[in-house]
Amino acid sequence: MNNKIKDAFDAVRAEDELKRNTKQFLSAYTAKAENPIRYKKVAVAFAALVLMLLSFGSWRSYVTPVSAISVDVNPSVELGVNRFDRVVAVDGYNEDGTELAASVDLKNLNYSDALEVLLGSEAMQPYVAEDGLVSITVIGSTRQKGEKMSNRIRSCGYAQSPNVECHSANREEAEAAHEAGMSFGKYRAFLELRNLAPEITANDIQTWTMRQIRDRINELSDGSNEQANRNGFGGGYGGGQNRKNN
Amino acid sequence: MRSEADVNRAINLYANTVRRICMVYLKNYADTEDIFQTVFLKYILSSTVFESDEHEKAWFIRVTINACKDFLKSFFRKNTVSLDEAIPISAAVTEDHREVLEAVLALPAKYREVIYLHYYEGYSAVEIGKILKKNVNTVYTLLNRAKGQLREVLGGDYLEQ
Repeated sequence: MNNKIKDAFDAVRAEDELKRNTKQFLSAYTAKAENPIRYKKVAVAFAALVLMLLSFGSWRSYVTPVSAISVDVNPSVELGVNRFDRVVAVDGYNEDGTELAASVDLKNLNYSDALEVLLGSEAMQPYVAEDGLVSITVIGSTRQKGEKMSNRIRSCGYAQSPNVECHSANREEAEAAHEAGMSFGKYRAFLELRNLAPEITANDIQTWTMRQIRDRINELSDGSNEQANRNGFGGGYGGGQNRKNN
Repeated sequence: MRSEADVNRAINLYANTVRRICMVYLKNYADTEDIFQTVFLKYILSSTVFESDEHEKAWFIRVTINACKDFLKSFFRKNTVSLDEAIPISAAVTEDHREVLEAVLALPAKYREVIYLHYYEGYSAVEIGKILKKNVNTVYTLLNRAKGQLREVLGGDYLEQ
């Protein structure tokens, strides 16, 4: 029995296919194990990090205003515009302005569309109805950008009205305006008025409408100055240059 | 982890042993393939240093038996019925051998394993006790009963040889 059983078991051999399949399975396994999984993981982690930074970066660049548009009637509102020409911030600079900013949703609109919505909005009507003067001032991230933006605004329907004036300004002026607690459209008008009437303080004009300030300037200035200012209202960027000449 | 050359050497040396143990425990070919993968994967991953070829062979026998038993215990195995319940005796086996193998495989599992280890691998009852973690006397009893049953099936003349 001993030998019979031994012989019988001896006849049992692992099939070649079985050996081949096992070798195949194991070499696939070792290849996978040797092929640095760690490297793969690092690559995945790195890709995820890059993706995160990219999306964070683009999110940051979207929500960061690089240019600003100040709209002054009596309510003073400033629109923060990002590098993609979208409005990402709306700030009111006085009580009316804050109210106005809260009543219209301008976020994520293109700046010229946003102005159209703002000027056409229900909340704006009482101010523009009574012959209110709308002063739009653009501060571009660069001089060229500012010019481009004010040109675009000037070409829009709402800017054709004689009661709308459009200027561009530079960053320093804007910062000075903010220090004085005014939006820069108003600050600009204030500086102009103070040249003519040095006794006027920032506090005095806080409640004035742009129309009132402009009328006061016109009152105080002589004919030639008025002419220059008129050019400023209609001529946009030229306005800024005129003022510098003063 | 062992190298691929190491693994190929082990497969060439021990594939037949593993195959025979699989035949003793399992009933179909697909399961055998699973056990092959499990056993040789364990070999790749194991850091055991073998003192001799005997030691290495015993390791393979031990690991294969455990793998088979684990497999039989597994939930999947207990709760499903294989479509292919044929006893996997390779077609290459001659009629004479087939008769013996069928007789051995017809025994209960506890007899099959001792018959295989004793008559084929040539282990003593003490060694079998160590491999199967059984008392030596139990192994003697199992061997005697297994022999008795085989004698009944195959006839007395097998015993005399």
